[in-house]
Amino acid sequence: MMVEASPLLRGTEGVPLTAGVEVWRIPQGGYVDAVRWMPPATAWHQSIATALWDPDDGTFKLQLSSFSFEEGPSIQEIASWELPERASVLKTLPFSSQQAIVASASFAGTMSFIITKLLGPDVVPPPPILSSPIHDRIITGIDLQSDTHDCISVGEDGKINLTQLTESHLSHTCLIDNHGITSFMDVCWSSPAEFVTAGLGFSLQWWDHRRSGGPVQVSNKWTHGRGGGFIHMIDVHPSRKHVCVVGGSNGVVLAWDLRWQKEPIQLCGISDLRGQPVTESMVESDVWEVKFDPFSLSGSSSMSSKVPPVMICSEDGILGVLEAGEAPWEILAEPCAINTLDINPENFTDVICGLEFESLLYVKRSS
Amino acid sequence: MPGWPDSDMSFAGEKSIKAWSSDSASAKVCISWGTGNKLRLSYLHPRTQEISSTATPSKVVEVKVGSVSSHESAMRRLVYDSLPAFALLQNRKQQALRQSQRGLPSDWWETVLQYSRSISVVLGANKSSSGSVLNETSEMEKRTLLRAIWDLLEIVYVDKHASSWLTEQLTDWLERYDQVLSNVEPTVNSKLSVLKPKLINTRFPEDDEDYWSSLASALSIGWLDVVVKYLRMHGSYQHDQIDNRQTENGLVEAVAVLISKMPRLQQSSKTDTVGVTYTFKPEFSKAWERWRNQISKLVTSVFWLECTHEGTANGLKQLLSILLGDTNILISATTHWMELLVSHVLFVKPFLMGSEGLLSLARKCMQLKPPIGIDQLTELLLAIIGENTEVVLVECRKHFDPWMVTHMLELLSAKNGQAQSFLTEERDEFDGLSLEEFHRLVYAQILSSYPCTWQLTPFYLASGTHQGQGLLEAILLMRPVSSDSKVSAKVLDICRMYDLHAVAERYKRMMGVYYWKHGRKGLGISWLQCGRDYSRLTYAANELFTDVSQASVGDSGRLQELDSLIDLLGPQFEGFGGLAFLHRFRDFKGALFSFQEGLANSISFDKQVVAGKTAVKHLMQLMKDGITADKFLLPLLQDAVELLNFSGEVLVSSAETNILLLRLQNLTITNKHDTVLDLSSESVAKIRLALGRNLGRAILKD
Amino acid sequence: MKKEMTWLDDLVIHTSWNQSGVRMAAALSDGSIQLWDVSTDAASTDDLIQTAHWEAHVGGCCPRVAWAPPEYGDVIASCSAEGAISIWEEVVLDGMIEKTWRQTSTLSTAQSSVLDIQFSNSTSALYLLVISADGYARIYMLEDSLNLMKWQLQAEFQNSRSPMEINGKHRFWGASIAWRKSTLMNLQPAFVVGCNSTSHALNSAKVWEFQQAHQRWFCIAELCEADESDKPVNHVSWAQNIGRSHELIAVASGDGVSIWQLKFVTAAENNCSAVRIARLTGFEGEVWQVEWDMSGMTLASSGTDGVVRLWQTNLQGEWKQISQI
Repeated sequence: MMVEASPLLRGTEGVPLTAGVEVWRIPQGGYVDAVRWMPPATAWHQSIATALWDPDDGTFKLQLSSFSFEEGPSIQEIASWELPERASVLKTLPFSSQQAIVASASFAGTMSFIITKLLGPDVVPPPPILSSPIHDRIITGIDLQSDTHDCISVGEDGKINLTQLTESHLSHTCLIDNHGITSFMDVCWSSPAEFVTAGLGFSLQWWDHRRSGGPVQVSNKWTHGRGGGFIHMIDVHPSRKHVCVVGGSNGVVLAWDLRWQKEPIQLCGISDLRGQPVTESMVESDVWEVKFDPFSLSGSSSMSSKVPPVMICSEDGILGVLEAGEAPWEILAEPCAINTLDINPENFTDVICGLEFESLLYVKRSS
Repeated sequence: MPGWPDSDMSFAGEKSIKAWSSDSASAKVCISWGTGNKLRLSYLHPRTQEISSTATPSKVVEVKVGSVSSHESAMRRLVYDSLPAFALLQNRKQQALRQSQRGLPSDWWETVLQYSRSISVVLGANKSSSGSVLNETSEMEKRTLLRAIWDLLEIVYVDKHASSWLTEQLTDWLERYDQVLSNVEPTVNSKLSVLKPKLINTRFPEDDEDYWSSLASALSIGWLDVVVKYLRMHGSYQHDQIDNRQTENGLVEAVAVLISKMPRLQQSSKTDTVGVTYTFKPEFSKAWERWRNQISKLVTSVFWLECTHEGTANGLKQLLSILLGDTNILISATTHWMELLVSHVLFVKPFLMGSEGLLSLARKCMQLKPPIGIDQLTELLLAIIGENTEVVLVECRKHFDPWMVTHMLELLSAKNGQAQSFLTEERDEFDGLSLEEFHRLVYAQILSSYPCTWQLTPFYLASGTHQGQGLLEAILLMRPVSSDSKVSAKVLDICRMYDLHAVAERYKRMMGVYYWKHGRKGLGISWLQCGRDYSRLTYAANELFTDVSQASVGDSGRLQELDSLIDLLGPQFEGFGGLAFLHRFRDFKGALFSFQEGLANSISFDKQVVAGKTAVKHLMQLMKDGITADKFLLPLLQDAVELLNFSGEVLVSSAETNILLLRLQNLTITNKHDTVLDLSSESVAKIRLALGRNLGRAILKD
Repeated sequence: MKKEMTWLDDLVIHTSWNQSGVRMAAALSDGSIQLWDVSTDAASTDDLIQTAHWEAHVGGCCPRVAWAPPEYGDVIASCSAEGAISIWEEVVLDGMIEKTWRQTSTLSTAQSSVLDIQFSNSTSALYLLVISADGYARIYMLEDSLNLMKWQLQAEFQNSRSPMEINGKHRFWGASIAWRKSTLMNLQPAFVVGCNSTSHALNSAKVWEFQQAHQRWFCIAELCEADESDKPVNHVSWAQNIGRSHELIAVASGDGVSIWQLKFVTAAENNCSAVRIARLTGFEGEVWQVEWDMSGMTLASSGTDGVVRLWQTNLQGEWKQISQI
């Protein structure tokens, strides 16, 4: 089915869009749980993976759609799979030059992997490789390692699982199980063996899966005074593995340079590291996604001592870019939450978001 | 006694069963309301002793009260898409009211007009969105009907300028919505669609009566372009006919020209309309007179005698009569009274301005062309035309869902002061609610019954000064606990936006207790912290302590697990009883552990002393007044024995030893009869002994 | 729109939904309790899934179950025909994955059957109100908010303004309790009780309020007009107050329903005025249950005729039946 996007009707509000940004809404027939760009097959063939929830009949599906742009964007379904459970996380990664992995985790602790052709529709969509429940209830975060294709997953149950994917079957190793005493909200690889987790209370843990026992480093001592709150999302810089950024409750966006174990740099949030209120914060509610934004990289921010710019989206409908020492760039303020975002890995100008109002949002920045 | 249970009911059964006989032995319905308008009914047909199996099985049924749309995804799309316009309008209204004490400004209707147009676009946009494609024609029709009523409301209630161009507005409106007006009779639309294929295949359409009647119908409601186009398909235009039918063709062309020259009073000249546009009324009336004279002349012209084709002559004359406003012809040409009304304003009363005369004209048309069968919309259309706000409201409530009622109330009060006060005045019979707030409550309650729309309710409730906020609070508090962090974040974000702190804290407490009891201790504590529920936190800390204190010294794994939890409790919770204790206890245990580890691994003596002293320091922190509950003292002192007995160096000073002794003494005195604290045991003696010996060593050292 | 959610065992004699309307407890005549959850599983055809079933009152009948507010967890109270009341909570025990329902405490009341039990919904404390066939209402209070083991009997009284001799003189077939519900946080707890017994004085619905100054419960209003004074009260329902200046209480008495408006005047000693604003009639037989929706705008009723009727006020403020199911 072909779906055309309608350009944003926004003239009445009197708030002009930031110059050089074009925005389209693409209505979907269900709630968008997650959306990701697929690894590009060629520069001209873009596609996206979407996890959808249909509130009418309570079904969940994963959909692959080709994405084309002529005058406006339009998407066309290539393949779709019924998911047995509602998707909580979705990640995509190139598997080979011709194939990609689409990994999704569910509210019921299961995972599914689909290895699909990048170009053209499959004659028969490949069946997903489904896992048994490896977490007790919701998986809150997964990440795919780009070299090894290993999948690391964390959940509210306090488990960290490593899933290795070979041709058609999965093997799981439980690295950590703290029996639900603490919970993890997200995980991100920083190297083929190291990863970062976060969750309760704005703390960050740095792990090495070759070492048993606890984390290699814990950031608690750097975040005294924060108290209650959650981190929802982590991103580790793709080339500078020691730089990582998190987003969480109360509009908090923190960046760490792990080489210097000093206090994190606060990029956003309604109160500072000591719990004192901050007068102006671009976002005041939960930050749902943080992503290093290669597009916004300016001359000054490429300095190695500086944390590169990050793009965020939030519960209060903000899509924006933050950079230490720079004024925040508010790209969009939507009337509903922006639950998920992804920057096109091939074309940094393009951003796709999932909106609360059962729509995708396509943002094109002029280069 | 009527209606009274027979007091002589036999006492044969057990007392208990008797007490329940009134409602448990027979079939009954258990009612329970869920969020919004969800009603859950349990039809229970319990098995009784006499009858072992019942014919009707028991079941649970859910009823959504007052929800009419079966097409939920289309409904949600409408709900989402109409929200920004509504929210924007409310913002502007509040701004306007803040700026002026005397109510809304006189140009308020322009703002409402913008709103109305955006909603109308939303109502029209049903093809482009994927999920909500209205593939069922009945749904399509319903939506179009909704838009028809919406647009008519806009013409009458919102657009101040519309009254000056009423004829054109109504003609345009009818052109757009004629197909949904009547579902019984053949409409002009259907007539034309039958005619169209015929025209392609027929050389001489004028022989067909339908051709002329369709043209008459189209002309009567002002579809001039169609009429002109079809007239020129008349057979006399054919090349081989021209010679024989010159006069006939001349007449046809004359009528076509006259039609295309019809003067029209319009705001601006539209490119696609046939006719001559006038924007100034006196000019228009002059032109109108001129045009009418031309028609009259043509009617009385001698050329008719030369027209040999009877069908053409009659047909053309009929068209001319329509142009001249012959009521009888208009009645026969139109099918619906609304069409007749439009034909009247077009050809009979072209100078009608405003809605004053319109209502009586509409009434007249209705008498002339009474609705066939039950035309449900008649009352509503009449009420709108007559600006009878009360009836409009009642009829809309009858025909449409609360979405329509809530959103159209804004149109009613755009420029009509009377309607404004009718809708916003506080009503005693509603306990101070205005009709506006009342309908928003109804709509919000419906929104709250669906999993994806409950979060939109604040936009409709926040402005409600009486019960809006209360209903919003109730909706939020009825949200179930969910592992979907998006749901809980949504609840809390709404609380933040609308200053509902008490609700937020209650919700966080609910989340905290849920996680605490369901094996997610850390999450539980985090939520309780967010909710500042210190009494529950203290209890949780106590329970954690029991856990920690039961973990044996060697079980570092368990301690490490709990460690992260205690970290979570954060230093800012110092001073809250059990939590402060737990922190210090953790520190003490940690220090003691490294001391013990040192002993086992025989590290350097200096390091061992440092570790020991750190442990003592933490122990003394625990001994401060009010930190450690009595029941935990004994295990602590037992742990201290190892430190006291350290042979290499005196780790505990005399002053510190004295404090420990004092605590032990107090403990034994105040808890003499406590059986839980086993004070008579050997361990106490052992502690005493260790303390005594250490005191001696410490004094010597001092 | 109507859909069937699930079929039930024919032993079920009572059902009760939790505050958010996603879980349902069913009381069975064999003394067991079933727990049903609204399904989130796409594959399931039923909308309600049975997630637990346990023997609550061995050998007896479990006539009633009631949910506590969610701030106390997933907690229900059940009662047996012999008058024992059990408190159950759903927990995941340490080291376990599965949820279980565990009994946290048992309250033994009088040795007579329980007619109705209801938890209060006030933020200050958790009360459990029990009314038994010996004609007494008892109020238990939870001592520690996170620990459901310890309950304390706070009050014991009859549903009458002055003490009466009940023992052996009067018999009870039913009673109904409804707590005051409000989104306003710090209101005094209050409830309404009505009975179906051989005593008119005990039957009529009365409103009780806890008065902080005296540290006890007072009857502040009696909801009974002359034309219903001889009718037993089968059910009462207190509408959630979302900001009205008055409270709304529906009383199903005999073959009709009375709607009462209650105004609290805080200052005075006798601080409440009650007015009956409507008497709904036209039922075939007795009315067994009345329930307000979340806003107090719609009232649902059911009775001997098995018909569920919905009532609302029209734009003139008069109560009318709007539909029946």
